[in-house]
Amino acid sequence: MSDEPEKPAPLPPTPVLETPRLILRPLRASDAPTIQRRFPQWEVVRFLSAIVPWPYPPDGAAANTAACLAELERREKFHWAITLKASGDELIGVIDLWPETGKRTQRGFWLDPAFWGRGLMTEAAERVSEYAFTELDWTELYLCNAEGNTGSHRVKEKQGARIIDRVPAAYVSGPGTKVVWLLKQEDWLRRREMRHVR
Amino acid sequence: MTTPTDTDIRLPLPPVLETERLTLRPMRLADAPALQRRFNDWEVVKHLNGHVPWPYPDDGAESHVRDSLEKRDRYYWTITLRGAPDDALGLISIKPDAGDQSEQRGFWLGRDFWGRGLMTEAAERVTEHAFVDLQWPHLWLGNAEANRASHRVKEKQGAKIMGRVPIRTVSGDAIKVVWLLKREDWLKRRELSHVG
Repeated sequence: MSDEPEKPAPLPPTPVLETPRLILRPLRASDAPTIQRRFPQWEVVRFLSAIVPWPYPPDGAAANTAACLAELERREKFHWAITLKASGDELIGVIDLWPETGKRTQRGFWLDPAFWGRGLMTEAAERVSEYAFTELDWTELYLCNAEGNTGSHRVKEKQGARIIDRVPAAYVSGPGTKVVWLLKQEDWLRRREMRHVR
Repeated sequence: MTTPTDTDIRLPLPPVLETERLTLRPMRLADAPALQRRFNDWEVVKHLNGHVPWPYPDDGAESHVRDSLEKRDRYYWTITLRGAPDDALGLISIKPDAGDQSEQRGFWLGRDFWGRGLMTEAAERVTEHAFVDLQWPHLWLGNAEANRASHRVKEKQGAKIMGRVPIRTVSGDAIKVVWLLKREDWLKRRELSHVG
């Protein structure tokens, strides 16, 4: 509305979110050693943005966690540690969410491959989407993944997102194509309603 | 149970209310330029009561603030971010029960500040003021059925839908959802959410 760009209003603090199998809780500095152990795996990083340093330095997780906590502190992004209810508080992956800033991407995630193939990331993504659409009332979510990242691709498909663009992008594994998706609040809500009716 | 019908009763100015991210402070005439700029937005006004003039006149905000401060039949707060109390982002107001189930609360927020739960935060604080400080027994609330965001604020607060009635909004004929939020229900919910 205004001519001068406004400083974005602060987000609420990252809330604790629950799903049938998971607790998503705010990221903490003490998660860094676990991230350093679980994150630097080729299957995890190869489809991530080339800004991820590779080979991963020994202080990679500490530096990245500190940067994420600064964003939490400034209330610019939500950063959740993904933890299993069944096995305590230890982080097995991360999911992030932030308001659209013109870059057509608002969510990021990764999960230790030891936990792949059980629908855990879809469960986390659905809960985070619910928070965005019903608590914050966001009207849409821009999502993206590297072409070929079938796991991430499937999460979006299952959520009912639609592909709106494909653009060149640089990944840890080299140049590639970024698939851009749009998930609309009305579509997501309708889909959820239909599932509840059944 | 008295029904205040005496229009000459002027309410006192409301107190400053603080939340985690917001300062709600009494509305003042100096807010008019910022309110004018942020309210003059179709997305903001389209679901509001048809009494709102549209196209919005250049002196719309100023005359609204001036009239409201003179009449004092509602408690009006200007919504500001903590640490920036001069920048008016929107308004929230409450009025005593008129006995006709008409809504006792009104609010709007500039579009740049949507999607962050700020209005829920403001509404919860003003509701606390109504129920705890003013000891009002309930709040009648309302929104156009298509106004999803406003609808969600009431849902999140634990209000109950009492009916649906035709109204006229800035967009034309519409349906108004009528809600009741009871003091005892709200207090109970707050207690539970603090424990859990």
